[in-house]
Amino acid sequence: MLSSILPGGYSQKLLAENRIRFLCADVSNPEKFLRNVSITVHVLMAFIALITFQLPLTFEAYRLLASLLMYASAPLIVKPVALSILSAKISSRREKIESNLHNALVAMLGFAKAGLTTSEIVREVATMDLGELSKEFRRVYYATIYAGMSLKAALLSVADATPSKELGELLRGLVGVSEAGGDVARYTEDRLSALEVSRKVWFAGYIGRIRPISEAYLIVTLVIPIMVIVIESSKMLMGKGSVVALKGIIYVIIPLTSFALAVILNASSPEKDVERRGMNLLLLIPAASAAGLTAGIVLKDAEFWGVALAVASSALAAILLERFIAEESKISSSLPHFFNRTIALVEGGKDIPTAFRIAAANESEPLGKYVKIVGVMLGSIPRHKAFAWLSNAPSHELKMISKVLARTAYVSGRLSDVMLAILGELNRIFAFRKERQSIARGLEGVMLVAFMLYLGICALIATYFFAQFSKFTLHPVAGFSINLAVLPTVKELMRHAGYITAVATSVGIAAVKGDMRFTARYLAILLSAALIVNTVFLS
Amino acid sequence: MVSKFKMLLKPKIISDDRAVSPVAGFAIILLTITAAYTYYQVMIIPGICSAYESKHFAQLEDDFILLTAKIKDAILEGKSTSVIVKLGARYPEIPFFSTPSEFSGTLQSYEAEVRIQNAVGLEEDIKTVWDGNEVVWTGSSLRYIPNYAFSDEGYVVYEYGVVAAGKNSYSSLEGEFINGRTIFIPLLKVEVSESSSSNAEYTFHVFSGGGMGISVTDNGNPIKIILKTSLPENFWREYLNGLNSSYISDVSYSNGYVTITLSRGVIYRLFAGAVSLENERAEQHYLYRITSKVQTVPAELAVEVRDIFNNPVPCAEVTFRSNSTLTDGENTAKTLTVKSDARGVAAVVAKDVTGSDVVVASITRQDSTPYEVAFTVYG
Repeated sequence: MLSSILPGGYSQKLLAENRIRFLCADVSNPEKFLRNVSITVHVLMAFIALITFQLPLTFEAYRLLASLLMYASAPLIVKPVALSILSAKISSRREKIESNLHNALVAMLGFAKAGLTTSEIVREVATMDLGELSKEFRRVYYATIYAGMSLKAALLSVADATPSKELGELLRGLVGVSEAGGDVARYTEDRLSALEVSRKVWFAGYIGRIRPISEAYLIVTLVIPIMVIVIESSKMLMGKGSVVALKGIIYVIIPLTSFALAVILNASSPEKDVERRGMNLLLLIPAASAAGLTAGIVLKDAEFWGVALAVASSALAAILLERFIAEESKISSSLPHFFNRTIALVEGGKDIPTAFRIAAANESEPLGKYVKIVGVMLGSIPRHKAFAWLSNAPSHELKMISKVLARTAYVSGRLSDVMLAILGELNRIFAFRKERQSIARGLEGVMLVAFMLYLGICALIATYFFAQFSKFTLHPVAGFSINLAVLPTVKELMRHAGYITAVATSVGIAAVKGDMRFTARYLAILLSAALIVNTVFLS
Repeated sequence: MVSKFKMLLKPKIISDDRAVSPVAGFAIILLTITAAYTYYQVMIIPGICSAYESKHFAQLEDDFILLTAKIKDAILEGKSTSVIVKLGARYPEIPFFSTPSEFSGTLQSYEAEVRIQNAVGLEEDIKTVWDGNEVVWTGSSLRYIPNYAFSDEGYVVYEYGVVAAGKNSYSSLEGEFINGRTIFIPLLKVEVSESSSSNAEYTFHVFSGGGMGISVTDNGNPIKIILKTSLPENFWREYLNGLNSSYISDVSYSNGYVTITLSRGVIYRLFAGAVSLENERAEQHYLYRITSKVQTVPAELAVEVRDIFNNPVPCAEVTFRSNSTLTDGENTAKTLTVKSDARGVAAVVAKDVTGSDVVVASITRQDSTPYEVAFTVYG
């Protein structure tokens, strides 16, 4: 009992009650996990207690008491912290599993149509490199091979311990169908249809959510802060207003709401696990900005050099990313047409390699470059190797398709059925993107207008309003009701607001578009505009 | 080709009949309001405040004009007066917009100096003081400096009874320095430097006033009045030209001093005086016999005690000295010290004189030197 309240200690009841959740979270050593959480919480609370002791409380006894209470609360916090981390891990795994579930089902359909048994299907999916999903299938497979469990027991065991309800149902269904000697192919086909319906609902739900969230971003992060900044700045110039409120909006409200809403937009996106080439290039911007700030301290103008290098780095990142984005976009929009033609040819009686070659021959760049090579390969090397080569294409969808087609071809599965299922998914994704683009376009315009309007207002205030006070700054007078010392502060806050709003606008547009790489492009343009306006009018 | 051309003529943005969402529309309205707010705040509010400042400045000019009139009356009539100057004010409150809370103004005094050269008094008693040598008066002038946020109206200045307003170029608002052959030079004996955003009330006590003025003429050289001034040369030239006085023969300016040269051979009436914020009077400077200097008993011997500005000095001690008996109604002695009354007059009566006697009236000046006048009384 006593050990549970010491650093590294935890309640045994907590361990026992959450055995399944640890499995769902893929925590292989729950005891170590809880011990680490307990130590971390105790260290953090000790640190907070130390800070509390430094607080300027009237009586020293109060400080000591408050510090002791802070540290004493550590054992009580261990449980909620551990459960929160566990929940986050479970949620993360569930999302990763469900993002690949469709690809797995498509492949399983191909396998089942080719007559593979349930255990063979499990083995193939386990080796398909579908991340957490393949890991769950590997647990089934290893349980049957190394732990001597029956396939039914292994499937049911994993179905109970998986964080994904849909995968659990799929595995239980597989047990039922294979136990009863049912048609696994038919079962998989039905599950795929059901999943497609639920994915369609998911996409539609996201499209329904993206508009209010984006609009909230527009209003909460840009429009209202801009309005308040303008009003408060004017008030401050008139000897009223609050510098604390202004700083709170610029340095706290805008960054926090921007971050929170961008995270919400990104976290709920069906494409959040999509691999984006060159994402690391975005790190160039904060790195260059930090370097600029450091150099600026030496050159006595940290702000200018920090922003200038941020502009330069974002422009460089935008140029480098533009090629990736354009290529991926073109490939993604060409894929449904390509597979449509291929399937039409297959249904017209052509075999898969021939149909693929004919469809590839008419395909334009950049998709054409890759599918033509695969078309040539299909005539000379094993089909699964040819399809596997497609993963070299700079497209997330094409990589996933490559995995499914390669594995299906490898087990001589039914490629036509697989391609048909893939086409359905591609069409859904294509329609989803078009819908999102349509929403993004309108909001992008309003966001840009909001930002440019802010810069315009800054220029207007600087040109006409600041001029009113310049004579007093040159010749200070006594008894003037306006505090002239506020003028440089207002200028500085308006400059910083310009930069922060530029970042918030860029992040917002990129988040609404569903690809954070767009941040670089907008940041280069908007930060440049802010830097020019600030240098000309607000320096 | 034709269809492409048509497409160009009909851009998407015009043919697109979709509306923005209500929230985006709301955002656009908010942005429009923000832009309109900024325009009003930046372009219109300063105009409103500036007009308010101009109104205040005009009111302050009126206050100074009133101040001038009251100082003139105080000096001529010898009575204290008070004046309210609206140094600052609160800006108007405009709903939804920001205006500064208030503005202040500073009223400050600065050195004034009058030098009169070549002036000779016409009367015998005056001549002893006004003998053609330079007479120097010192005092102060006033300047009001408004601390406006939106306009730069300049200053309002009071110098020697003249009110001027402006900054680089001034225009005169009130005051006639020379009217015909009458010269009026009011001075201030104040030290003030007050900044306030509200009304300030000043009570001016007569430091020197209530006199009838003196008559002077030149000593062969033209009379010159030299004024120390903060106002520019062109102001004085325009102002003095504007008086259309045929008695001003020349105006010159050098290093903060304006010199006004008067026409020769003319008898001028010179009025001068000063007011102060303290209840104090100018010291006695000379005596002016208001009764005949040669009399027979019973002889009333009266003198007016005057200060440097030729105005009467009340409560000044005048000593009458003679070989015969003098009386002031209460005391009887050969030497009597009598205090001057409110009109600056001190008098004794000589009753018992055998033969003739000389009665000397004397005062002690500020620099401790005596000043005397004599009466001859016959028995």
